[in-house]
Order: sequence, then C-alpha cells, then structure tokens
Amino acid sequence: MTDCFALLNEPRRPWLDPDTLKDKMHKLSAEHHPDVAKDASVDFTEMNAAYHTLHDPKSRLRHLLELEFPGSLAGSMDIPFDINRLFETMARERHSVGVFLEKKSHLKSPLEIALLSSEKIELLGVLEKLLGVLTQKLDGIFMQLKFIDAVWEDDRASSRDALVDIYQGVSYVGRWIDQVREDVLKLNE
Amino acid sequence: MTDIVGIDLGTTNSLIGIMDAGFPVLLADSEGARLTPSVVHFPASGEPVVGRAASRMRVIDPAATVYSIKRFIGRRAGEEAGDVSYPLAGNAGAPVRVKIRDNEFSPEQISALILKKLKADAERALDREISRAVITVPAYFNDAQRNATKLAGELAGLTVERIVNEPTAAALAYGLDKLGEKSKIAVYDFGGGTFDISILELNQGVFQVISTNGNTRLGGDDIDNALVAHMASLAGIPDATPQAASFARLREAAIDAKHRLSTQTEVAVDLPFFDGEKSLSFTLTRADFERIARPVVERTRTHCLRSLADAKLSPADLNEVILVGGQTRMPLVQEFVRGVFQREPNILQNPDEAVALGATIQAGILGGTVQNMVLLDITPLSLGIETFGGLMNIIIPRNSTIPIKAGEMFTNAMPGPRAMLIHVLQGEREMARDNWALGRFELEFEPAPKGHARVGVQFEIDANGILHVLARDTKTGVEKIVEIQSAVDVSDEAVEKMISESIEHAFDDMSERVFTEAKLKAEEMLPAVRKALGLIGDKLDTDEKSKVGALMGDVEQALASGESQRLKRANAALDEGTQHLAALIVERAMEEARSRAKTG
Repeated sequence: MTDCFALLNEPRRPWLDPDTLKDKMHKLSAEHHPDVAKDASVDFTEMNAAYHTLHDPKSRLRHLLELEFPGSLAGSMDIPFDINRLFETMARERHSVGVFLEKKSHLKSPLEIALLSSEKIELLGVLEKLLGVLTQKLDGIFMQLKFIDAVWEDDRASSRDALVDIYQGVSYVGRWIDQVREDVLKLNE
Repeated sequence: MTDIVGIDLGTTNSLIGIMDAGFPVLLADSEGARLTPSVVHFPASGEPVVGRAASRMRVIDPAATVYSIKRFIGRRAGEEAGDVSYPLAGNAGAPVRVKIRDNEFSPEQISALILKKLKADAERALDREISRAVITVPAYFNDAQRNATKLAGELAGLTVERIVNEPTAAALAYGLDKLGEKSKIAVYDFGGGTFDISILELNQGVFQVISTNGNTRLGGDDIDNALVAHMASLAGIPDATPQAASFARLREAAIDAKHRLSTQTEVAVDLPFFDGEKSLSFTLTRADFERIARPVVERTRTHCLRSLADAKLSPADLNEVILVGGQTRMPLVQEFVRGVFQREPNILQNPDEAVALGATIQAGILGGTVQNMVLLDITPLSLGIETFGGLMNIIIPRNSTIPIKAGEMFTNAMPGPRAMLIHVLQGEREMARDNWALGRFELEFEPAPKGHARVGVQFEIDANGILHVLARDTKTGVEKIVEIQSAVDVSDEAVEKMISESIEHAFDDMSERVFTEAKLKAEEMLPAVRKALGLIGDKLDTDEKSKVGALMGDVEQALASGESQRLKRANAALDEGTQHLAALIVERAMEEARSRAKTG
C-alpha cells in the first residue's frame, strides 16, 4: 500500500491542518503538474490521489489506521452509543422531509407548490436545527482527534480504539451532514 | 514546436485565439469578425458552408441548415428533444445522426466542419499552419461528450492537446492579471445550450477548481423556444412544430427581440406574411419577456446552491462572481445572480469571448509561452461501478482534482477461470440504473480457487476529464489496458430500456393520454386556485381576480369540451396567470414564519 503521508512528506499523524496542506499542494502543483513540470520524475496523479486521501479527515483516518494498526477496521464494529442516539433523531426528521418531498414531486403547477410553503419553511427550520446539532457533534469529534494528535508521539498504541471510534464518528456524522444538506437543497428546489 | 490555438466550440458561436507576446488574442475571419456562428449549411450541390453565410440560410433552407449541434454531441438518439428545424436520424439508443437529403452526418462530423473553418481562418490570419489545439467543453460534459469533442477536433485535422472546461477557461482569462492574489471566485456561465457554475480558488497563479455544477440541457435555446411558443400562440398557430417553415422566421425574430431587450425596455416585433399568409405584429416589453424567460433562468438556482454546498462556502466567502456566456447580457440574469450570490456580479465587457481567451491561455501554458500559471481542474461527476443490488459504488468522487487515479481490487466469486463484467458509471444517483452508463468491460481471472484470484483495476481520469482503465493481475503481474466499450456506440440492456421508454414516449402524442394527463392536472389545479384565492384573494385587485376567474372558466370549459390541446393550453394559461398569486402565497408563508420566530 502506498504511504500517502510519506509521499507528501507529511508526518504520519491523526490531525493535519487542511489549509496548510492545501497550500502545500498548490506549491507542489505549480512545480509538478504535468502541464508545467520541467521533468517527469514525479507522478503527479499519484501525488494528487495522496493529497485527496490526506485532506479528507475520514479517508486520512482510514489510511492511518490501515498503516498503523492493520486489521483494526476488519470485522463488525460496535457503533458508539451517542452516534446511535443521534441516528434516531436524524432518521425521524429526515423521514418527514422524505414524505413531504414525495408529496411535492407529484405537483406540477407553481401555485400548488406555493400552497405548501408554510410546511416547507417549517421543515427547513427543523433541518437547520439538526444541521446545527450534527455540526457541533463533528466539531466535538475533531476536538477529540486533535487531543489524540497531541499525545500521539508519546503513546500510539493506546490510541488505537479511540481512533477507530473517531473514524466511525467522522464517517457517520460526516455522511449525515451531507444528507441533511442535500435535503435542504431538495426542499429549496 | 508549433503553436497551439485555443478554441471555444460553442452551441451558438465559436471562436479561436492564439498567444501573442504573452497575451491571448482572438483571430478574426476574412470579414473581420471574431465570432463564427456554429452553423453549417449543406447546399444541394457543392461544399458545406459554415458560419455567417450558413446562418443566413437558416430561414431560407431550415431543413439543410444545422445549428446547436453541440446539444447532440456524444448523445444517443431519443435522449435529447429533437426540437430543431433539421431532421435527425438514428434509432433510439443509437448515436444521434443528422439527416441531410440522402446523407447522414454524425455530430462529430458537423462539429469538425466548424473547427475546420476556424482553423482555416486562423491559418489565413497568421499565415502559417495550425495543427494543435485546446478545445473547451461545458464543465458538466460527461466522458462520452468529451471523447466525441476530441474526435471532432481530430476529424478537423487538429491534435487536441487538451479538453478544458468552459467556466474554468473563463476564470483563467479573468485571473490573468491577478496572479499575485489569493481569492475565491464563482463563474456563472450561461450559454446558448448549456449552463455551468464553477467555484475556484486562486492562489499565486494556481487556479484550483473547488466545485462545479450545471446542466448540459439548459441554455439560451430554452429561452428562445419559450418566446417562440408565446409568439406562435399570438399568431394563432399554437401547435407549430420546429420543422414548420414558419418556425425559423419566428425563431429569428425571437432571438432578435431577446438581444434588443437587453438594452431597450420594449421592442416592436413585425413579421409580415411570415408563413406566406399570416402576419404578426406586436410590442414586446421587457417585463413581458422576463415573465417568459424567468422560469428558465430560475432553473440555474439549484445548481448555484449545489456548487456552493459542495465547496462548503456561503456567498459571503466569495470575492467575486463573474458572468460568462451570451445570456448574461440579459438584465434579468444579472438581477438573478445578484440575488443568489448577494453581491454585484462582475459583468465582463465581452462575455462571449472570455472562454476562448481562457482556452488560448491554457494553450499557452501547455506550449510553454505562459509561465507562473497552472490550472487544477476537477471531474464534475462521480465515477463508479455497479455493485451488488444494482447500487453505484463510487470510486472517484465528483469534484476530485484531475488527473487522478484510484484502484479497486476484484476477486473471483466462483472457482476456476472466470470473467467478470464490470459496469462503469458516471453520476450522483444511488441506483446504478439512474446514472450515465459509460460502458462495460470484461475482467479475466486466472484459474484459481474461489476468492483467490485477484485483479487490481486502476481507474484514471486524465487532465481532459477522460477515463482510462488499467487491469493488473496481482499474481502474475500482467498489466493490460482495458478497452471500454463506449455506451454510446453499443446497444445493451440500458439502451433496450431507453428504447422501450422512448416507445412509451411515442404515445405521448396520443390524444387520449394527453387528455387524461391534462384532466388530472386541471382537477388538481382548480381546487388549488380556489384555496389560494380563499387564503389571500383580498390582496389581489379586482382586475386580476376577474382575470384569474376567467382563466378558471376557460379550464372548466376545456374540460367539458374533451379537446386535449385546448385543455393543455388552458392549463398553461392558468399556470401563468396565477404566478403572482403563487408569489403572494410564498410571501405570506415567509411573513408568518418571521412573526412566529419573533413571538416564539
């Protein structure tokens, strides 16, 4: 497996500042992008793939776990309790949005859709609130991640389980945020 | 090393340019014009005519004059509405062909004729041969449309050095003199046939596209068609088809009126004996026109919001919104963009030229005459394969910087030598069948017990946004380039399905079905209007109220008459006549929400 950290000359650790990493990629691109590269010694496509892996927290964590703790992602994993609870709230709210969108999809005239405005505004408010809760949750998970990052050098081994939990948290909550954003877009369509 | 030219191959107009002393310069034809209409006329005898001369033939010989061919490039017949004045051929599911007299032409061949004309004009202007080019495409073009555009270039005798996205090219032109800056910009590109929105980050000469969204079937043509339909109904020929002789005259007048209404507030439309008998003469105000065009312009909103969401930005995070494409000359479009992005848009002096200038800059980057600039473009659509249960498994997500590659490991589910069929898709939908099928390929396994053969497949999207697939047997180390059978060229189940669907569509014209659908719509609409009037009728003045009442009466009478076309028209009129009522209802709902927020 390619070590994306090594490829981009980054330390192998849980947290990387996204903006710093992006600036670095911009500098590397200005030198190595095939359109402008003076020599072809660097595989830009590979470098770019590595950047995408490291820039996204979820794929970075997955990659880190695979490198540091092979096998840690195999088998069934217990879903953390708080994530489970969050899912119930989310599924309930998203269900009512789904019902509304289904109803709206059958309407063709602008006036009929306009008559649903109050309901739509109400649902948008609900989703807004939900998005707030989810974003806060994700921020909390990132805080934990930064905390582990701070003690990473001294004690990698004991971080394993916490990192697996965090990886799951980032995967689920990140995906839910995308889904709720998509719902908001669909409601506004 | 020969020069590389930059070409904007547009739906309506095309342009060509070259770098000169560090600046992009557009080249004019022998008549001194930089804009070449993307129109090809096939005379009864002799060579095809391209450009302005061909454009003049549109009204005279509409069946042998091809325009807006870009809408059909890389597409299957039946996918795209055939609402053009020239006949299309090809069975549903097969690649689109244009039928001129006894000959059939592919969209690539027709595009190649346009490119040849641009090439010849450039060679005349520069007095040297041209053989290499950068050609632009809408950012939202898929793999098949990009490949077809590349092929068109090759047919015209050009080596296509790069396919570059139109809004990205426009950003290069905008940013040429801002290389020291760090900023975020949006490019709103509303052309003749396509709409794109792209968000970019500019950082010390690096132009990184962050997100893109769009619709390859949304453009000025839709506005023109809506205006033509309005004019046809005024002229008393509401059912005129695009193939009718009168249609070309109406369309010409509609486009002319649209152009003039960008600077004038009303125009006189005068068409004496436009079909030999009927005449049409009326005044079109800008307000009338905007009422007709607004629904088309509104359709760009969701793409703008999606590109912002994908970029994880709000309008306030942007430093600039740039308008590109001819449609952005319309005051309505400018006002719309102002509303969506909550800022004054940057109205380029020549919105038609920015894309060609950018293509020329990219040609300069590739040729080495432009230094300190590099473009990091993205793939607009997610790439994936079909997996268990007919789901799409994403391998390269949309908005990934290109060139990029990703690997996927496959194993044999059965013992012995087996081949596995891999179905490659592009799109954002969860179910494989809802996405665009790029094609399929067979993966061969060496004989091995179940689960033991391993073949790694590498998907690479190159800098043109075009897919390449490489399979590697991890045991033998044998690599091989996989030929994907293009979905456009091959007839498969997906195509079968499309055919059966288009057969269903063929029955759309059947009066009975049309009437049933229109009747359902009327029966939903009438109570909705009554309800809306009950809620908010007091806000309408008497005039409007009685107008709505009359329109409802028309629908009721049409229902009783059993005439499907009449009912469809009455429904449409009621839809249009209640636009203001709908707006008031939305306003009221928002007002209520605001006051609830205050008290609660």
